[in-house]
Amino acid sequence: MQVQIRNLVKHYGSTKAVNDISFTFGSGQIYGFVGPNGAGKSTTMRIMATLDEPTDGDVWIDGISVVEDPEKARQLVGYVPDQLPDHRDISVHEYLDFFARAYGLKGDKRRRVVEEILEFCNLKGIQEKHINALSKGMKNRVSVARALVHDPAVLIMDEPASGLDPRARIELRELLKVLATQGKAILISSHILTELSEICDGALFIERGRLLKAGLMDELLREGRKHRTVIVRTLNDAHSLCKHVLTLPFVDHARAVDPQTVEVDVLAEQDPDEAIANLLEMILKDGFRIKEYRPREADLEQIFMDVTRGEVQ
Amino acid sequence: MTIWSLLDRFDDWINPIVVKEVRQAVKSRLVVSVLMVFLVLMLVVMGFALSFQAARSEFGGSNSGMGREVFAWLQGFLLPTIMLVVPVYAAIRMGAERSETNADLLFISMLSPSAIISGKFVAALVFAMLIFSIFAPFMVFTYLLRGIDIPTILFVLWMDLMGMFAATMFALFLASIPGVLALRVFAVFSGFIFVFFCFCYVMGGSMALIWSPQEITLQPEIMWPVIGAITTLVVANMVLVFFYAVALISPVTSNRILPIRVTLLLNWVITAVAMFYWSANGATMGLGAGPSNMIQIPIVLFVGYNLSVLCVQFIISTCERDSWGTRMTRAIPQNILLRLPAFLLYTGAAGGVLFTIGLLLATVLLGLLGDWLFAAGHAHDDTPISFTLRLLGIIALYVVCYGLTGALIRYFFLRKQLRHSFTWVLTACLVGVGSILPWMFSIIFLLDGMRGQTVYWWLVPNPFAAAFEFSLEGRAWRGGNEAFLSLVVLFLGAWLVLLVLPTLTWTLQQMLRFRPYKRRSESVKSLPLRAEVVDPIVRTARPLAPTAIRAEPVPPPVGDDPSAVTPG
Repeated sequence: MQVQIRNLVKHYGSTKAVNDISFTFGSGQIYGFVGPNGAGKSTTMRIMATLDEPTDGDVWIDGISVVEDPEKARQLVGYVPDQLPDHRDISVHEYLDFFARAYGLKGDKRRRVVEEILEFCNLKGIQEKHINALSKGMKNRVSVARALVHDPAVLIMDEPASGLDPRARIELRELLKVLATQGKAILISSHILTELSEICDGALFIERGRLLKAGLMDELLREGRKHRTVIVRTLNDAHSLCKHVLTLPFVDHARAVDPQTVEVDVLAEQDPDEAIANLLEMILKDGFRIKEYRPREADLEQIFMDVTRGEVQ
Repeated sequence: MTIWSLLDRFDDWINPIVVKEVRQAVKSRLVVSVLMVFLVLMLVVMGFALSFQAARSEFGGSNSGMGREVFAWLQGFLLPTIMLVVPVYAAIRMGAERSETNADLLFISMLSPSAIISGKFVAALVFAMLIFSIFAPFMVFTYLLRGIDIPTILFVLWMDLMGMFAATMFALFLASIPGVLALRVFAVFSGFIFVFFCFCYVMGGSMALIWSPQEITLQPEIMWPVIGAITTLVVANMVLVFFYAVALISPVTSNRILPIRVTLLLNWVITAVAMFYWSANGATMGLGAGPSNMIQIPIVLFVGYNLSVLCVQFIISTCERDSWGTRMTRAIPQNILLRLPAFLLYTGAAGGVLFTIGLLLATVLLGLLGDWLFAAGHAHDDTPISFTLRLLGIIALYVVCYGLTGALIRYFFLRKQLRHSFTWVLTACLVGVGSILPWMFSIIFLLDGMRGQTVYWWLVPNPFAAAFEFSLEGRAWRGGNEAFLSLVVLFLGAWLVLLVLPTLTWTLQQMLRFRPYKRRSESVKSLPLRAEVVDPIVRTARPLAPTAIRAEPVPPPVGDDPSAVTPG
């Protein structure tokens, strides 16, 4: 099963919310959708969930167009919006039962599916509790359970981890991993990039409606970075070391973090390892005494900062 | 088949919204409290009534009207509850669902917008039935107390039901209105005032029936036509309002006006047939024989109802889209002969305007036919039918002129600045300018000349002033009235002539755009299978990793290759 987004365009008046985006992901993959606020993430997800119609382009879910056959496509998509359910006077069980009915499940099958979902999302213990009395983490689980009620092949999650406490985040992460092993294709948008790097197979960076970068997580972390950051702790004065390294041609930026520590951004467009080794060699050659020299591991946050400009439209 | 499996089937058959709403209602402390309060209230009223009756008997007084008095009290509690409280409750429940996320979740389920609205309506009826179940035993008991007859009780209950149905559906419509909070609050407030007026009429009518001097025995030849006519109009309006509400919560990209236009057409045909039949058989259906004002009433109802509704529909039509997205174009027929009726019935501004103008003209023509048929021997020239036609006809002309001008200005000059759905704002501004500007101009520059004028020409573009004058026509309240009215007709005629050419251009351009969807399968197949990364910063395009993409051709859209579609 594949989800294909082809030349997707969405205009709101003169604003191009989504501007010619194309990407593909498939069963068993979790893709992170990363971008600043107003970048077009939610619009893209709403189009994928058949809630909006694109100005141009299309999304095919298992070969079914969301533009031409929204009713069929809907059966394949589970959508978790950024807002959590807040219904009065309705229990978790009744809420899930309602959506099971709304998706056309009948009789024994409906009852069985609701029980399975409650079990799977670990909601059995709170099934009689009213939704509006639940914590954010629990509501989040209910929201995911609701999206799974019709067993969709694709799960689209818009900021599901925002506002969750650490335990709820870990639980959500584990739940998503299990869903991916079950063969669901998952697209998840989040501002918590450390979290995405832990669970995602790939990531998509978007800004001002344009797709800036896309790929598998390992490759993204390995390639395409403009610089590497090295943390240098010296027995000498950090400021003098800082001034010195800034004179080196392959150093992009350097800052003294404390009296003994300097963070150096090494230009790494050619060979990052070579540049890091060269930096150490030059520092030692100029008589600085080093007690720690540690290249920082690449992460999504840094790629995000490299790739995006923080522009909004 | 066991009783349980039958119940199971019934459970599956019920609209999920009804199940959810009723579950929420019976769990809600507010709802349960309201029901308990009513039960206590009924017991108190009945207790007082019986005590009062006993005391009156003790002192030799008459108790012949006790049932009527108690029934009036019960009606005083029941009607506001089912005509005001139940609709407000339904509107609040709908408004809660209309909030962004909840609505989204409903719309991506398999529930259609019509299922959502009908579910909310049925849930409100269930709630009303709970209230009725409290009132019903006490109301029946009033018959035993004497002073009121069964037809009156049934007639009043029928009025209550009609009032509740219409008010609840109208409340759901108001709660479905999208947009900013201020607009929604304004709409709900205006709607509530309207419902309150209707409530006052129903309450007044029911009290008049209950408190009429003698016991009322409604004659079947009067009662059934009246019940039939009012039920027809209420149901016709309810169906129309239902589809308006459905359209409001349907995706903007869908063909959401089609059911409304079809309903308008059906309503027009049904009301025409029903009202002409009633007038034609007036002698046996409570209207008396010969050419009287009574026999014209059905035609007046037909003309009044349809012209009013079509005026509203005209303004709505001017706010519709003038180009179509993929979802809409898929529904446009390939057959060119079917495309013309589709153009008139499908979502679209020009089609809607043509459709509404056509029905407006047909209503006027049918009204004139009714006037000729049923008012031929009338003593006065100014028959009720001709009066209604003149008054509402002139209002319809103003609506067409201002509405069309607003739509054309937006289309030709403000297309980028103003969204089509806000054309009504431009029209309202034009009405404001037309009503105030000439009047201000005459005050500032022509104050002396205004004295002694008999024809107030500066009021000609003002639809309210003209409607007021037309409503007074025939009563000759001052000289110059007829000259003013002639000037109004001349002015509107000239305005319409000026609008013809741009309207034709506008319509033609939309007709040319009204084409069926062309599948893009070829272009899709030729698309490269990679993530196209357009990076304004890095300026490199990098494909997704090979594991993320299987080197398979993109499946063609549904319909081209059924084997490619594997849902579930």
